[in-house]
Parts: sequence; structure tokens; C-alpha cells
Amino acid sequence: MATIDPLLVILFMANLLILVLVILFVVKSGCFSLQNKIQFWLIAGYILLLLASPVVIQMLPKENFADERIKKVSEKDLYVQADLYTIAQGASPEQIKGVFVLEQWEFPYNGSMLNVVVRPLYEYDAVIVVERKDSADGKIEAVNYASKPIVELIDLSEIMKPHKVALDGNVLKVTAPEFLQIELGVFRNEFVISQILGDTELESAPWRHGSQLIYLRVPADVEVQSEASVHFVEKQ
Amino acid sequence: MSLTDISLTEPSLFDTVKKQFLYKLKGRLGLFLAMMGVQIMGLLFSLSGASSHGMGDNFLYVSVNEFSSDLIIWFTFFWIFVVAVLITTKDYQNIDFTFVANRLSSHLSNVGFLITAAVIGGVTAMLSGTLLRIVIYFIRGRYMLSENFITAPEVVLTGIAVTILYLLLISALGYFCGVLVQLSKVFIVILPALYIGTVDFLARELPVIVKVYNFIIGENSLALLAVKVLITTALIYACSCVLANRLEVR
Repeated sequence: MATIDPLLVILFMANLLILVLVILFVVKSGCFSLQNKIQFWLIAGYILLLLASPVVIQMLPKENFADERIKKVSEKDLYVQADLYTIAQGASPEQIKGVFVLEQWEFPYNGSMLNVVVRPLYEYDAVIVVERKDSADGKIEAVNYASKPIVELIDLSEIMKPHKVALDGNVLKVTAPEFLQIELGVFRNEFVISQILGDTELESAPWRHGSQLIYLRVPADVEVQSEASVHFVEKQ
Repeated sequence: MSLTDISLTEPSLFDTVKKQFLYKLKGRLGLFLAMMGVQIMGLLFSLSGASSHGMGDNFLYVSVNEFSSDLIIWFTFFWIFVVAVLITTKDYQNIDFTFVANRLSSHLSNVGFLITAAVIGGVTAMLSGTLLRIVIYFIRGRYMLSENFITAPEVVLTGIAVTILYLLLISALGYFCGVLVQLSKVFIVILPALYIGTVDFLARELPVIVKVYNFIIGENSLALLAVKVLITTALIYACSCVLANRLEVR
């Protein structure tokens, strides 16, 4: 059996004491001197409210639940390899299963030197891959690829925010996406139920991080420089 | 009923117990108000969730907050224990003197009251879990998962049955502790010390504690749990009666 933190013991005992005091307070003081009739109706009202709750819960719209609203994936999908970093090593994004285009941009460009800046520079590791095209077509194409974040078999890719990419002169500015924090809620069966019927644990499927990558296709005559780490790949 | 009838007819034990039980139920409504209070308190404490785990990276942090009405059930356990101790105190026992009663009828009506309290407590504690689900549905809105949200009737009934069994057992223990304290005030110190020292945190690995734990909490069959709890409860009440009779003799 696991050892228990003494602080937890103290907190538990303090809670217990508060609870006993509350019970004694309610029983011995003001509330107890309420007229019998008022007490009766208060309790009856409470019990009626509780008895009505199993009916009310059935009437709540099911489509509001996150797992009903947001696409679910099968366990098979979960194990599809979607390692974005293989793109940085030369793999073609189109050939990697589970990778999708989150956002794309196209900028006309006639310069010979492109400076790629990443903001904020030191707070996150942006993965930027640059591919030089065969021709000097005067266009910079930027694609924000992403892999799906999956939690409890729910595909959260639709809530992912893309990077922001903007061209200003010879500077291509890549800004990190807005940080998102999602708190899902789930109910666990009460211990009195799990003692008899066993635990109903959450989906045992593992969670998977979603990741992002910026893929730049630059004209053949454009040189790229950057203060951030940029991976150069050959055209696939 | 004439005056002659009253003086000559001795009421049966069943009639006395019934009258005392109904009188106690009516006179102790405040105890159920306290139950309502602790359950609402448990519900409010449960709104923040029981546990949470998450994962994230530079762009997204996802956490899953688990909710449960376990706390409401624990609070109801504490409530019935306090109630069981309270009804052994002199203030509450004095109600019995308004009737032609003996020690046995007083005990039986107290047991009847505690059984009723356990049933009401068990049903309301489990249904508070449903109320908690509804409240959380409106508070959390779009990021709730449907898993375990709507519980099948048979699952709720199982929960109610197990909760009632625990409440019966805890009320019997509370009543026994109350009788001990009436016997000697020394037990006010001994009982909490015994609880903390042996049952609770320091000696969880004592074989006897593990055996008791497995006997009740480790039981997975509802029927066997019911048999074990009912027999244990009956034995504890019997011990309480024997001890209380000593009190009367003194």
C-alpha cells in the first residue's frame, strides 16, 4: 500500500472536523429551531429536486458533448505514423499519413535574398523547412503542416490555431500560433458503483501530441537566411 | 378511548416502537436538514473536480478533469455517523420518557430511525451525483465528455444499494461509539485515538486491518456484501444493546 503524505492526513482530519462542526451547528442552532413545517418542506423540496434530476439529465441535448460534437478517430488512426520531423529530414509531406495542411500562403517575390524571422524566437522551437524550386517563378509558397492532437480518441485538430506568416520587404515573419488551453471534463463512476461493477476507466488509448511545421517553397534564385534553425531539403 | 382502557391496556412492544419511531422521525427533521446541508456542501466541493491530468506542447495544452460525486457520499457517511452518536446522547434519549417505554423499545426505535436515515441518505447521496452532473453540464458546457454522464438505472440502483449498506454499517458503528461514550466519557478520547492509530493512516498494513478492508471494501458481489454488512450491523447493534443495559443497571 502506498504511503500517505502527513499533510494530507492533517487536511483530511481538518475537513472531518469542519464537517462535524457543520452538522452540529445545523442540528443545534438556528435551522433546528425552524418550524417543523418549514423543515419538512425544505427537505421534501430537496428530495423532489433529486428525484427529478434523473429525468432532467435525460432531456439535456447530447450534441453539446465534446465527443459528440468533435470528430472521433478509431484506435487504428491513432497509430498512423505522423512524425512531422521526417519532413525536415527530407520526406515529402504528402506521403506522410496523418499530416494535414492547417493553413497556406502565397507571396509574390522578386528579391534575391529572403530573411526568415521567427517570433518569439527563444520561446518555442519552430520547425521551418525550406525547399528551393526548380524555376525562378517569383512566388514564395508557405504551408503550415500539422499532425492531429488526439485525446481520448477525440481529434482536436479543428481547434488548432495555425502560425501567422507575413512578408514585409525581404523579411518573412513567422509568428507562433496563439497558445490554447483546453480543459475537458469527464465523470468517473462513484466508488460504491466501481466496487461492484468494476472501474470504468477512461479510454485506455494513449494521447498523442499534435505538432506543426512551416514548409517554404522558394524560387530557385532566392537565397534564404535566418537567425532561427532552418532545414533545407531537396525537391522530392 | 376511555380512561379505563388507558390504565388497563398495556401497549405491545411493536406499538410502542412504532409510536416512538414516528415521534422521533417527526421530531428529528433537523437531522435531515443537516444531511441536506452536507450533501450540498459536498456537491459544491465536487464542482472543481476530483483529479486532473494533461499533456501539451508549445501550441496546445489539453487536460482532462475527472468529476465524481464520491465526496458527497463520504460527507453523507460522516453525517450518519454523527447522527448515530447524537441520538445516544441524553438530550435525544429524553424523548423516550414521553412514552411508556423500556430500554429495548427505545433501542429498536433508534435502530428504525437510523435504518430510515440510511435509506434516505443512500438514495439522496446517489441522486446528488445526478444533480452534480446536471450542474457541471451547464458550467463546463462544450468541453464535457459523454462517458459515464448518464448512468444506467441498474448502475444507479447498485450504487444506492451499496451506499445504503455502508450507511447502515457506519450508523451501527456510530451508535456503538455513542453508547460507549455514555458508559464512560473516557471513550471521547480513546475512540478517536483508536481510529487514528489503528484504522486510519498509521497501521494500514496491519494484517487485521487488511482483512477487515478485504472483508467489506474488497467484496465485489452485492449479495455477499449485503449479507456481510447486515450480519455485522446486527451484531454491532446487539453489542450496543447489551452495553446500554449495563448503563441502565448502573
